[in-house]
Amino acid sequence: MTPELISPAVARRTGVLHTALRTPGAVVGGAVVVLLLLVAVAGPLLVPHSPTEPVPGGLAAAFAPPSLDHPLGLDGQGRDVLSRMIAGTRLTLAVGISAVLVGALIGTLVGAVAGSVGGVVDNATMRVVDLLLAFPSLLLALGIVAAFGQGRTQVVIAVGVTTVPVFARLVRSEVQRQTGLDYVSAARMYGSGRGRILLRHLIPNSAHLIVVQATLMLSTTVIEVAALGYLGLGPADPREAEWGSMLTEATLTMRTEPQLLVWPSIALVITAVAFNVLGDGLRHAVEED
Amino acid sequence: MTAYVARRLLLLVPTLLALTVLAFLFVRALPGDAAVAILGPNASAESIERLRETLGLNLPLPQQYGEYLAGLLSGDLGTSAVSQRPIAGEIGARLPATIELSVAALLIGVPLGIALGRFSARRAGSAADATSTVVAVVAVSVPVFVLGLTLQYVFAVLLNWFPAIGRVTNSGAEERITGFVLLDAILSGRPDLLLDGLHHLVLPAVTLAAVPMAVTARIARAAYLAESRRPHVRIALAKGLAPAKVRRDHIAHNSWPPLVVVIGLQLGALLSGGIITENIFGWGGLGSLVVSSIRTRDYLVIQSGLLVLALIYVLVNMAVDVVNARIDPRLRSAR
Repeated sequence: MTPELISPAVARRTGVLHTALRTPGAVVGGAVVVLLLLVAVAGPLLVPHSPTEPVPGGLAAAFAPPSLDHPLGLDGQGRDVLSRMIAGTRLTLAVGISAVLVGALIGTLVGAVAGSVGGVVDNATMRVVDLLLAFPSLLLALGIVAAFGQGRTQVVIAVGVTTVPVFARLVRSEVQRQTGLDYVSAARMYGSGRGRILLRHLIPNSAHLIVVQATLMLSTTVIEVAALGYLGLGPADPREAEWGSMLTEATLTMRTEPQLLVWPSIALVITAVAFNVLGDGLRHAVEED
Repeated sequence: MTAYVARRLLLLVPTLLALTVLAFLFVRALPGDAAVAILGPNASAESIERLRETLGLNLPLPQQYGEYLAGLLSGDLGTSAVSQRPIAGEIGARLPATIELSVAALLIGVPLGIALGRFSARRAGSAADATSTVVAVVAVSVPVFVLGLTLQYVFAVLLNWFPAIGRVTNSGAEERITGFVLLDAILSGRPDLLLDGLHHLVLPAVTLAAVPMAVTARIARAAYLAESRRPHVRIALAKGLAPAKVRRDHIAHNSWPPLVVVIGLQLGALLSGGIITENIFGWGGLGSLVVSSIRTRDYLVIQSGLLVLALIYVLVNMAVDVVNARIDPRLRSAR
């Protein structure tokens, strides 16, 4: 057994992507995720019409069926559905990803501190984390939105907080595991302080696990963002295109115009499954590594 | 066993206290003054002052909490700013709807999940196993509201087999004894109302049952497979016991503990999903009350609504732990 005196991350970097590329699920999921991200980033350049305002003459032509100019037709307020779907991709992904970033950041800090300090601090934090972990996430998110009002930032915080316990647990156990490894002892003997070891070694060496977990979490956060939108608690401006609130609007005319339900539903399911499959593939790759 | 239950009950006290502190702080943490937040910016100065008085906002914080707790214990949850009615009554009137829906979803999802899981475990690796695994993955991935809206459109709007919304056809026609539609119909001897209630229950219950069904199926499959590979099963078969008896008494019986844990963990999903399901199907339960109160900024109703939902969650969780200890003696001594 050779002692691991260099950070394992250096040795790892090449292997994981290679393994991931051999699992078909990860490749397909990854391709869909890349496509979604491209649509989200290039959204403003892609939208053929305004996502929030009716197209010219659109009010009179509300619920117009698909045409060359409007491939998905118009909605009840004469807005181009395709443009709204594209803008919705951007909004939903931006909010979902921001939420996971917030959750991963706070969770990593909490988990790293609890894991490396240990003792009473560890016990107390993990009690709270366990409580949060067990608690129904939508209830928690509803409470936060209720207290801070509606809006994008509030949704990011509400959904982000619900992901904190997952990251905290993950990072804590990883920090505890690595603290026993030789390269950490080597760093300590070299004179590195606890903070430096955390920031330079333990957290970077947990990064691959955090990324995998974040990918998996994205499938749930995207749905949760849409769920808040569906419940009418999403973005403050009701005109804004968001998949969940588009569904709510579509339910009002469900009997006569069911097609409006179809696109946001499909988009949500595809997004959730894609992140899930990609995350699963990455996890297998990391575990195999 | 008694000692275990006692210890579990004792552990419940700090959790419950923590929940009430959270609920208490929720209203105190509202941006600006809680009384202004509750009454809105257009309220008169004296009504704000009056509410500050009732809420006890002028008192020191620990004393405020004490009074809040005393109110809770005497069943006084305050008055709704929107309906001007006591909140305890509003919640009490809606609680049966939520419980009825959740129980129905569990009764559909869990047995179906167990059957599906064991079915695929016995045919592990076959096409039937692969199919049911795919069904389970899809059922978990599809958001509750997408599933609910799809079922609503197909079976209520398009086919007209089931009603799209509500708990009964003519609300007010039924005799209200317990608030549970089905139970009241039985108690008052009205089979027509019972059928009507069941008819309304199908779509929401199936919607809510999807996730518990899928998760239960996955765990049931894994637990059954793991148990069937243990040595005691091989010995039982070697002894010459009938395979059917081995499956029932040795494999299925011993795969219960992980299942009960998972069914307990489904409660969170059930509560979250219930809030959404109630909104889709116009189901007048606690979840739709909380959501509509958030829209109207009826903070005291939100506070108590969330508190009651959390209480249900904690209490049922404890019940699951106790049931678990009853089934699996090893857990009783574990700390």
